[in-house]
Amino acid sequence: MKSKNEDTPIKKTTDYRQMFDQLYDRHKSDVYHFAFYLTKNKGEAEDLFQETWLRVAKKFPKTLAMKKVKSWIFTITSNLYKDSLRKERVRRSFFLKKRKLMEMNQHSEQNSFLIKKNLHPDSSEQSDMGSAISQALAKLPDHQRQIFVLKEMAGFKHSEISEILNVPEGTVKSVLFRAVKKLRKNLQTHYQG
Amino acid sequence: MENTEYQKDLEFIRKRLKEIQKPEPSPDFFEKTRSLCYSKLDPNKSSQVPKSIWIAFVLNIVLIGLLMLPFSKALKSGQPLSMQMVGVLVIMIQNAVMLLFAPVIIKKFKEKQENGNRALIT
Repeated sequence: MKSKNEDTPIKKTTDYRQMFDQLYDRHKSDVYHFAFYLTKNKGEAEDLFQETWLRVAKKFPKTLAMKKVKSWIFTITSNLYKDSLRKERVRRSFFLKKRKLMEMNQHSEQNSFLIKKNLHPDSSEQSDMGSAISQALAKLPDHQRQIFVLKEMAGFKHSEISEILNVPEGTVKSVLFRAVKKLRKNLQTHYQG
Repeated sequence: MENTEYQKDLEFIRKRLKEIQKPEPSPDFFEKTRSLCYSKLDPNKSSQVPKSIWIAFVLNIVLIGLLMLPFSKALKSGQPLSMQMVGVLVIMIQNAVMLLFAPVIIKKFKEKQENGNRALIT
């Protein structure tokens, strides 16, 4: 999945669709893989992917003037993912409060079950990760997984990751260090049985 | 020492990454998304300024130039400017200021709208 990040210029034509196709075909796989490893879920990855590209299309053709288009696209994906996490936290907080209220009022088990279902969705929907390395990746905390995927799979440099995620370069390096250590530990457990 | 260990860990992980099965989306998903994006691409959006705007712009400058002639004559001869002349001059200055600042105002308004929409979504 490691790909070059040289943003070689898109061939300019009079047809916007042709120009968009060049950009889309060049980066679609990498963006999808990134979305997948962020969300750990095929359905959510597809939503994230689609929303990202719709935003890119909206800004087109201004995007062609950008120096680092790929970094910009990944920044959109990352920000959209952060927004979705925030919404999920609000949703969970709502259901937690509701659960507390219901427990105080001593409601039936059926209601508790419904709330638990909302708090803990079916694990089969959570992760579509198959192999050991994929499972080890899925176990990483969000920020570690993001940085690891951007560095080792999407091929970005530390400075580029720092721009995409809007964190200092030093943080990128230290988080990556921890991610590698954790992955190694998770994989060691698997391979030793 | 720690650096060597880190490098070893990284090499181990990189070998395992080669085994990873690349995730694939649903069939035709990439093409469906492409079609959706096409609807967002505005074919009318062009970086070329329409000819009609250039013509109107040039005519406007010629008109202003012609209107400024009485003023320049009055200023050369040292005559005081009449109220009507002052009024016309003020309107011309106002138009010039509006021309300069209107794009900035429009841009800021659009940004404000976009920020508002983003806040609604999040």
